[in-house]
Amino acid sequence: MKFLALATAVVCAALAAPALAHGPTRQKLVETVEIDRPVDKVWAVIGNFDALAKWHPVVASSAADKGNEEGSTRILVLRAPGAPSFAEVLLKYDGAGHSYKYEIPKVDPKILPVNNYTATISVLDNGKGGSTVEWKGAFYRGYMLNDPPPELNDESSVAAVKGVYRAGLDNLKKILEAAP
Amino acid sequence: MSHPAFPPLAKSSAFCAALFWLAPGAPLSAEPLAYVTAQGADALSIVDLAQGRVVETVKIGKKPAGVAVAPGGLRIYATNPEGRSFSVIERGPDGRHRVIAEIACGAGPLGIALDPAGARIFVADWYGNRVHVFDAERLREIAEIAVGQSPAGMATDPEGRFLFVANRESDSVSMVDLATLKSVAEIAAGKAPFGVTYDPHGPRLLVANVQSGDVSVIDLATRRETRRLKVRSFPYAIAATSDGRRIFVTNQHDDSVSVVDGETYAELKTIAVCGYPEGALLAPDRRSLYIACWMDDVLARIDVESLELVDKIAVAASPRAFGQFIAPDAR
Repeated sequence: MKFLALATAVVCAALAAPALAHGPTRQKLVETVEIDRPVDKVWAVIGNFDALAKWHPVVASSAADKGNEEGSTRILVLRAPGAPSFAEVLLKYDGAGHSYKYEIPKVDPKILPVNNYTATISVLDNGKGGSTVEWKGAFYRGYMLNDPPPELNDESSVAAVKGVYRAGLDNLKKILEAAP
Repeated sequence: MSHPAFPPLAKSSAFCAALFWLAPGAPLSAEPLAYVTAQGADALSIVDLAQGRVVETVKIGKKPAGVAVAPGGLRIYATNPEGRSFSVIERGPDGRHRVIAEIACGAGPLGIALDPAGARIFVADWYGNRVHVFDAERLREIAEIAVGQSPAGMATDPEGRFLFVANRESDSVSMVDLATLKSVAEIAAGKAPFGVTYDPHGPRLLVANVQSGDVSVIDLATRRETRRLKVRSFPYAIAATSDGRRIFVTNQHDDSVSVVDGETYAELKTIAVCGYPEGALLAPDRRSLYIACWMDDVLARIDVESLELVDKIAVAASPRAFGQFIAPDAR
């Protein structure tokens, strides 16, 4: 539970987010996992926008108001002290291409230290009968101004998102490869 | 400071004027090159547009973003927001590039632009709420201009009378008189204006409003916004064809380019282009639109007539190309 530890650490950082634009440099993160199951099997588990809670160990619930329609909003409730929560909005959904893209319009940096966050999850055929699941994120750090405190700087923001992606991807592999 | 290998570009206005009239194929005017700031590689990817590939990669400062190529293409400037500086690059007679200076500038240098002669450099300071003005020949700061909050994109008119500066946190565009180096008007735009493009048709100013997801059309005779064009999520930069018929807008969060009719303002097409399209510019051939794709590490080429994506050129990590990343049209 890397994310839980990170989430707790970040909760301790009592900092108000100023209502300013963003730091100078957008961060990019790409994490992948190889799963020894065909694309359709993997997509059947993660393909629905509201399915995140079924495969991400840190997400307790992820109900969406309009399913897989563009603009659908899912409310994530995390398995962390105080059940922190925030919304994610579906930007693009490509069922045939096994991919969807979403954004976080606004999140308390104490929960996840990011701004202007978007991400894409895709399932790709790895050419060996299995799949590569790719989770790509783009975001600014948690602190909008120059000279951020360490817990809200670029490295901390990337580490927090990486924790979320790894926990999800590694657990997805475990679930799918354990199934017959 | 001396540059024995090559005369500084902005030596005199006559020199600059001469560069404008060089015929294609003349020694100083080789293939068009695109200078793509690669934020993730602390480098400038130099793309030969005729060959469609990177021909040189030059290390510059920290996390580069903004770029401005001088008329004639022999000088290139790029901002390094995290290095709090901008780099000055020269293209030598052998066609090779070298960094001749890295100049400290403000707290968050982001947008960068030149006057039409290439004699003055304007650097927008995102955190300092001002534009720093440098003499291009001596590379010395000559003025600071107070503008709105978080200045980002900039453009000048072709006569060099005004500099237009998008103030992202003030929802406005500052209009700076380049004779006095003072802001003479602050024009209201949409929410979070970022990229600014001067279009001689009108003349009008086209401004990408990141948070309202639209483009402000500003009439320069009245200095007022006359239209708001709805585009997709997080518009960033705008390119307009020289005949005024087409307007292209990169939509960062939609991974697309909106194409708008420059006369009727009707939306013609949304082109799925790549992950996080950022800087956008028309090539001198007038047939190609180049787009830096931050997420995918490519420079995409769109055919301006067919409105199709026709090529993707691999570049260094996280390209931004925010600004005039190809030498300005020599007409």
